[in-house]
Order: sequence, then structure tokens, then C-alpha cells
Amino acid sequence: MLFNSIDFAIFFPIVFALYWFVFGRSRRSQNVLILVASLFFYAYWDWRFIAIILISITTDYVCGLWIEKSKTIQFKRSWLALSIALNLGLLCVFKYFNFFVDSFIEVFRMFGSNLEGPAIRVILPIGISFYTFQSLSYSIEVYRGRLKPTKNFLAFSSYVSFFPQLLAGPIEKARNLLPQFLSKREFDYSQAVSGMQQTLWGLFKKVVIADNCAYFVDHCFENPMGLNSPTLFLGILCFGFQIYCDFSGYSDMAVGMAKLFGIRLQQNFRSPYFSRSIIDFWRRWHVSLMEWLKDYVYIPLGGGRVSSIKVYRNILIVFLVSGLWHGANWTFVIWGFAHGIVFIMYKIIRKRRLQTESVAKTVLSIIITFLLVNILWVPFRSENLNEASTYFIQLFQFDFSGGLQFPRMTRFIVLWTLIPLMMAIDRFTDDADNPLGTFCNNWPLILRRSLYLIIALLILFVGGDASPFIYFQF
Amino acid sequence: MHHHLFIFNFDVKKFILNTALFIVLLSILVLAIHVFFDSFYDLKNEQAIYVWGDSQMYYGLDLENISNNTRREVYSFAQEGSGIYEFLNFVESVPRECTVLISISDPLVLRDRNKERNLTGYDFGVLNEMYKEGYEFMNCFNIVMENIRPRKPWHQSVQLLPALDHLTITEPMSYYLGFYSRISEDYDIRLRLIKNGLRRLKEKSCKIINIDFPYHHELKNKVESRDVRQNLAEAKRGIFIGDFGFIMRSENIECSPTCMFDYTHLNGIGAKNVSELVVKSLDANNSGTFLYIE
Repeated sequence: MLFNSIDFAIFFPIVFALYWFVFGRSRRSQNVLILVASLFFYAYWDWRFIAIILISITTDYVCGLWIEKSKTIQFKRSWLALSIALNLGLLCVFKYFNFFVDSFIEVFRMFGSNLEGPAIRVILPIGISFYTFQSLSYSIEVYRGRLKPTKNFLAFSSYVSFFPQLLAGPIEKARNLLPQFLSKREFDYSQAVSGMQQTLWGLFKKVVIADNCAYFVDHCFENPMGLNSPTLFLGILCFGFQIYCDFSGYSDMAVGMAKLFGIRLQQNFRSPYFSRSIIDFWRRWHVSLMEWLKDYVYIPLGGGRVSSIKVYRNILIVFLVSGLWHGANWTFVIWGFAHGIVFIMYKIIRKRRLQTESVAKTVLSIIITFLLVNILWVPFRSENLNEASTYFIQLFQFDFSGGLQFPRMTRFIVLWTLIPLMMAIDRFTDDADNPLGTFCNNWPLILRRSLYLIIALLILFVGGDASPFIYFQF
Repeated sequence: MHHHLFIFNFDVKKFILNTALFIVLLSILVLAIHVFFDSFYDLKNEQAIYVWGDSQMYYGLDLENISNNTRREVYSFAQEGSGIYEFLNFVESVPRECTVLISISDPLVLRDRNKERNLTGYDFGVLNEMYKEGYEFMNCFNIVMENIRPRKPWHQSVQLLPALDHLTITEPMSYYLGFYSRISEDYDIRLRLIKNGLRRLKEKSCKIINIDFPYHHELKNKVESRDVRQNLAEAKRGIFIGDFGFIMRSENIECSPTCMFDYTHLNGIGAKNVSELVVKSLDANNSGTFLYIE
């Protein structure tokens, strides 16, 4: 059930009305509805994978309680290890099994062996990387003594399976989200309006920008050999905006819909394409994942309090994990590795020079970072490394013959008229989690409602062909 | 203490009312845009020739050839995968006393509901008729949702399929055989709706030519003996010739090396040949022709 589908447009208002009008009497009944609705939402895609969420929920709930009960650090560690092993085990089996087996066979084939792959292919359960990481954060926080384990299984289950953010985050830390399920939610009119604004804005980004960009991206990546350099370059920028609007659009909708249930989720994007460096970019892009990796991978490895060499090693590990987290494919590993290298290089350069902040320098830094990030999207978007290298080779032929080789140029022009407008409004996310609201809340009511109507009409009339969210596959 | 099932929450009600108001306003705006759009593409030229059908018709007629030979405008509403809603919508759109070329193909009757292309704007009268004849509410609702974006409903030229010396396999044989594997649940509903559409065209005093396009002989040999194919052929003749008094005309087309692009679609040469036959049929002095192409 996609957020931009008719099925969801029927499902959501029903759950919303039941939540406030029938189940709104107590925290317990609110959580019952959230859990049932979330499991239904997940089962709508494939009911068999409900078992995986339930395993993850039960394991971390039990481990959390036993970590606290354990008297010695060894026992605490054992329970934490069980939680980590089970969550990562699920990820390994369902997400990486095919990848590891294929890579293993490929290595053997390089040495002349004629090894055949297994007949079984494991299906990837949608959103598994998100909810296993979220559930795991609870056990780790309890182990570290930052969070008291909850005895309320219902609240904990609702925290892990909360449907607006179940499939593609934000990956909420237990200490932020779980306490909200431990108290009764009250309806807040202004929060609900803010939630609607954010949902509308997210839908606009997904349907109007991302889905339209997808058309031109597919055109470029399906056959880069027949296209000239300017077309391929714009194809990369289109993918940059596609993935940003697809993912941040989803996050906006998730945060917005959560507000309608009286739940506050964290902001996942802060205008990443206005970053002044790659370090700045990673503070603004997929914030919840980077915070997770920082807290649970980078800091346990020693973080920044070790020798420079070890710091660089830690950074590289974080980015390799980030790459692998995104998908079981070498293209993601290369993408993560490349970001790690650029991140380290920037850290070294920054150490050796004084920081001066002129407007020209800031603008230049933003442009350079934007281009760098976009160039690095090529392996991310490619099906395999061959496809990525073909794209780069063709791009750097510097073939400027002919004009832009895009079909449906009118659509292309409309899209590139809307992108700067979207970016201008989205710039407000720097300080606020609701860009559209921040942009127009001071306007007179009639103008504000007219703006909503224009956005809704653009969604209905200018939207691209409906497609699933890219991050669902991760 | 007595508990009511429903909780009164003024703020939630206010929020829902405001949201509902917004949705109503948005719906009115969408409909207004559709009315404007429809008026923009409204066709009143009764001298023109109006074409409707699915991909067989889309690729099976050379529109420019017909237009040049008849000195009349030709507007084609044919699209790949056209559904029954598009047919009925077309019937409502054409002016009185005009000439229409239609093709009631086998897939139109046999295709699954969820594989129909029904994207020719809104006609709530047609939706109501479909609902009354047996389409479910959700089918009609999906048609409404899919048609939110207005589209130009017709075209006046087509890029015909190339004439190659070999058959192109766009879909495997099994795909086509699938249509004839069983009588679909919509069979009777669709036939009733087709009858309704033809009746409406007759009421509008339109001159109608129904074109029955050929299949490639490999496919034809495989489906000809199937019950579904025979039943449908009989039913179509029953409607056109029995109920509406169409004149049957069988014609052969010859092309070298072949008239077909794939199993079901004519290539450019085949389309040109059929177009010439259509022009001849237009000259005939009868209000309904069933043109069977072999």
C-alpha cells in the first residue's frame, strides 16, 4: 500500500477517524489500533513477513527486560549480543543472502570453478533495514543505561511497527519515540494542520518532482551509449532530485501523518543540497540513519577520540556500512566507499586551512558539494558496476553534438521550472520541520488555501507515473 | 459510569470538516477544469470521420490516407488497450449524423477489467450505465481516479508499424491464446454495453462501419476452432447483422511479403490496404457495414 495510492487514501482516513473518535479514550486503546493498523498495512503487501517484524519486536522486548535484570555485565552483554545477532541475522538472511552467495560464486568462477548458484532466491521483505535498526536501537540504549526498558509490550510493538514510518523511516531512536507511546495522545489542532501541510508537501515532492524525474532518469540510464554529455549530465541531476524528492517526500509524509496521530517524529532532511561540504551534507541527508551509525558504529569504534589514522578508518567503516545498508549490491558499497574517501579528504583539507566565510565562497562551496554528491549518485543508480562505468565513460567523452536528447521536452521544461520553486520552499527545512507551513503560515487564510489548492492540482495534473518509493527496496 | 462508543472531540471534527471542505473545493475545481478541457476539444463537425478501437484499429488505419481520399477530417480516438468505457464515451462524444469507424475486437470483450485502458475523461452517465449493467462500484471509482488528469482524446495521424520481411514477436503466442481460454465473467456485460453503444449511434443517425481486423495465420489457426472465438464471432454477427441490420462485407488484403507486423497488428502496407477498403465502404449507400478483413 503506497502512500500515493487509492488504497491508502481509503485506509488512512478510516484509521484516523477510529483513532480519535473510537479508540481515543485511553493510551492502551490508541496503541491497540496503531498496532492492528500497522500490521494490516504491512500484511497488505505480504502477510507472511509479519512474522519477521514480530520476531524482531519480541526479541528486543525480551532482551531489553533481561538486560536490565542481569546482575553482571557479562549477562547484559550476552542479552545484547542475542538482540544484535537476531536482528542482523534477519537482515543477513533476507537482505544479503543472495548477494553473499552470488559474490561467493563469482569469486570461484574467477578461478575457473563451475559452481552453480542455489535454486532458492530469498525475497526482500519491504522496509526490513528500517525496522530492524529501529528495534535494535532500543536494546542498545537499554544496555547503555540511557533508557529504562518498558514492560508495556503493546507500546513497544507500536513503537517498532508504527505504519507511517515503518517502511522507510525516519529510523527513530527508542528514547525519542517510545515514551510517546507510553502516554495518551491528545489531538492538537495546530499540529494536525502542520501535519497536513507536511503530507501535502511530501506528496508534491514525490508525485510531481520525483516521479517526473524518474522518466528522464530511466531514459538516460537505460541507454547512455546513445546520448551526448549534456543529456547525461542532466540525467544525473534528474536522479539527484528524484532520489531527494522521493525519499524526503516520503519522510515529510511520514512525519506529517504521525503528527495527525499526535506523534512527533524526527526531521530526516535539512536541505541537503544547500550543504557547504560533504561533511555538512551528511549532517543534512538521511539524518536518522547517520545519527544511528554515529551512535552505534562510529562511537563504539572510538569515534574521533583516537589517532587520526583510526578516525579515518572509523569514518570509512561507517560509510561502507551505510553503503551496504542501502542495498546488497557492489554499486552501493562503491558509493559508500567513495563518500567515505571524499569525507576523509575534506577533513584533511579543512584541518590545514583557515575558515573564511564570504558569500562567493559559500555559494561556490554549495555548488561544488552539489555537483560532487550528484556525480556520486551514478553508481547508486546503476544496476551494476559495468553500467556505472559505461555511464561515466560516455559522460566524459565531452560530446556536445546536437541538443538535449530528451523525449517530451515540454514535460522536461515544466519539471525544471518546478524544481527551483520546490528547492526555494524546501530551503525552509533548515530550521523548521514543516517547510510549507513555515513558508505560508503568515499569509492570509484565502491565499494559504489557494496555495494548497494549486499544489493539490499540480499533484493531480502534473504528477508523473506512479511508482514505488526508491527507499522501500532498502 | 456510562460510556458512549464515540468520543466527542470538537477539534477533530473541526479539522475533518475543514479537510472535507478542501476536498470538495478541489473536486469542484477538477471538474471545472475537465468541463473547460472538454469544451476545448469538443467535436461538432458532422462531416468528419470519427474512429474508435484498440491497438488493432490504432495501427490498422492510415488516417492521412483516408482523409486525403475522402477530403474529410479524420479524428481517431483509438488507443492501445481501449476499454468499454472509452467506447461508450466515444459514442456520447461524436456529433449526430456523422460517420464512425469502429472495431469491436475480441480483446475488447475478453480483456480483464483491470487491464482496460479507460482514459478518455469523464462521463458520469456512462459510468452509471456501466454500474447498472454489472460493473462494480470500485471499477467505476478507479475509472474516475484514473481520469483525473485531462488528456487530449483524439489524434489525426499515426506512426504506422514498419513493413518487415519477418513477424515481430511483441507478445508470446500464449498471451493471445490466454484471451480464448475461457469465457470471461464480463462477456455478457460487455456485449450488452456494446449493444447499448450501437443503439445510441443509431439514434444519432450515424453511418457506422465496424472493421474486423485479421490475425496472423499462425494465431488464427490456433484460435479459430476454440469455443470462445466461435461464440464471440457468432455473438458479434448476431448483434451487428441480426440486431442492427449491418451489411456484411468480406475482403481480402494482399501484401508482399506480409500484411502483419505481429500476430494481431497490421503493418503500414496492411493499414494502407484496409484504409482503401474503408474508403470504398464509405461510398456505399448503407448505414451499417460489417467489414470483415481476411
